Amino acid sequence: MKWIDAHCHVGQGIMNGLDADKLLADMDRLEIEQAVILPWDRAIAVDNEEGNMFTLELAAKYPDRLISFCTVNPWFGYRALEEIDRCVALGTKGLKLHPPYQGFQISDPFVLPIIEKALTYSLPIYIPTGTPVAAMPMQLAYVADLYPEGTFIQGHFGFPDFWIDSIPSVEHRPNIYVDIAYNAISTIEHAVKTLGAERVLFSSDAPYLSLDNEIDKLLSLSITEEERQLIGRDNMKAILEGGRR
Amino acid sequence: MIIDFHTHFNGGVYSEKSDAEHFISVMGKNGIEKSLLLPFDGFFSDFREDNDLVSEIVGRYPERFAGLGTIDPRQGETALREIDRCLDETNLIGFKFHSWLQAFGPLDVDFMRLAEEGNRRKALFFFHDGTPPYSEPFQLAELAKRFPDLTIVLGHAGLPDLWHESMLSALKYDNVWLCFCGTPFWGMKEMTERMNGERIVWGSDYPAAKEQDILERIKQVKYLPCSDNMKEKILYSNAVELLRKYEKNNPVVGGSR
Repeated sequence: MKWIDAHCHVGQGIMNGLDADKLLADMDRLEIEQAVILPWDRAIAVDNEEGNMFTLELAAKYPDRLISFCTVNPWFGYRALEEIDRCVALGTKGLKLHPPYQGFQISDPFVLPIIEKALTYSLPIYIPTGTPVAAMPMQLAYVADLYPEGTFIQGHFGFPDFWIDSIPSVEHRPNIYVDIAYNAISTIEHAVKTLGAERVLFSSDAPYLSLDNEIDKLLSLSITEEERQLIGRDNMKAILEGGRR
Repeated sequence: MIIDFHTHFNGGVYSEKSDAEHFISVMGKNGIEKSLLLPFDGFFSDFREDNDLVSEIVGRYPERFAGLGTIDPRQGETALREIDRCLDETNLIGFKFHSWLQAFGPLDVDFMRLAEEGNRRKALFFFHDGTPPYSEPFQLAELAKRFPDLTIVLGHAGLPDLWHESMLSALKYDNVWLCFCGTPFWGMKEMTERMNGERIVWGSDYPAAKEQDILERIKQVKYLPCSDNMKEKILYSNAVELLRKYEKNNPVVGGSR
């Protein structure tokens, strides 16, 4: 087994969510050792507890294969903070926020307590970018500047509309990683060249994207095998073990 | 075989100057029989000059390329005349608009005048779509409703955030076509099912997308959980159908007319 998928979805959703048995079978077939799992769309938007329990139970059942990241909608206020406490106690390894689904802008003031709570537990924070007006690379950069001690993952690397901002938003911010889902091979190769392979993570966003295609893409990158290993596994392994590289 | 329905001849600051022979060799490596050339420099400079350039390339290799022009809708009579000039006097078979980069709203009065003339000529209008504020699929669907003789191709089928709007537009209006290009897997899967594989074409966005990206974008279609017949329609025969409708003087692909 070679790879770690930094971000995919399980459960039954309208636009995402994947049967866990199918995910595990696909992981076996594609040599993916571990996957970070998030719940389906509705559970991200509103039914956070239900979704988080679902991923935590799967992670408990398959501790060597599946890793739970929790999600909370910042609009739930103190209940969102409590939900992070609860998930950490049950073994979650990170936090995902989804600005378009959850209806906020990354830099909104009421989001900051959520970020701070996650950082008290040293949880890495995954936030997709690329969707105006809610999820833009420079908004994440603003928040990352407030918390230099944090580990942020700029999901989707600004795809599709923010290809101009994606590099400037992260190049002087070592606390932001980027992932390769959605992006073209040439864009990823450019990111590796500009930022270094240490800052780039493999993620599939399956089943919204095809896991087969995203692995195919990882294998098709014109980079060294050492760089492929960093992107495909080692960087995320280090993040999950609690240390930034 | 494959028809690439979304390419550019020259890519502004995003690529080297295009060279037709190199372009054809790249197509050959990827099993692409014919490419629809869209302009790029013409979005920002003298569109007539750029239209003539694309037309000249099509004229040199009519079996390998078809081409679209572009127009700045704010140029009044000059803009309107360019529709007729391109369709009557050049090898171009329609027009590409990148309303976001060209900084106009598709429902602007200036653009509506162009769309009206395009409708009169039963023209092919190809749009960048999926990007607010000027390239929202429903803005383009409104044009499809008002101008039913216009064929409107949504050049990215909505991208990750707005593919649902693009799908609803195509389901509602028969004169809307979808081009899979940067469209997410889940969206392509649902659109293919709901459209029964009809009115969908595929494009690479080369050379804005680089040479190494073309095969990956072909694979995105090949990995779809649909029949080989559907994939063949998306990658080839739907495009043949559309090209046959618009190519008057050029040889069309896919056998005899």
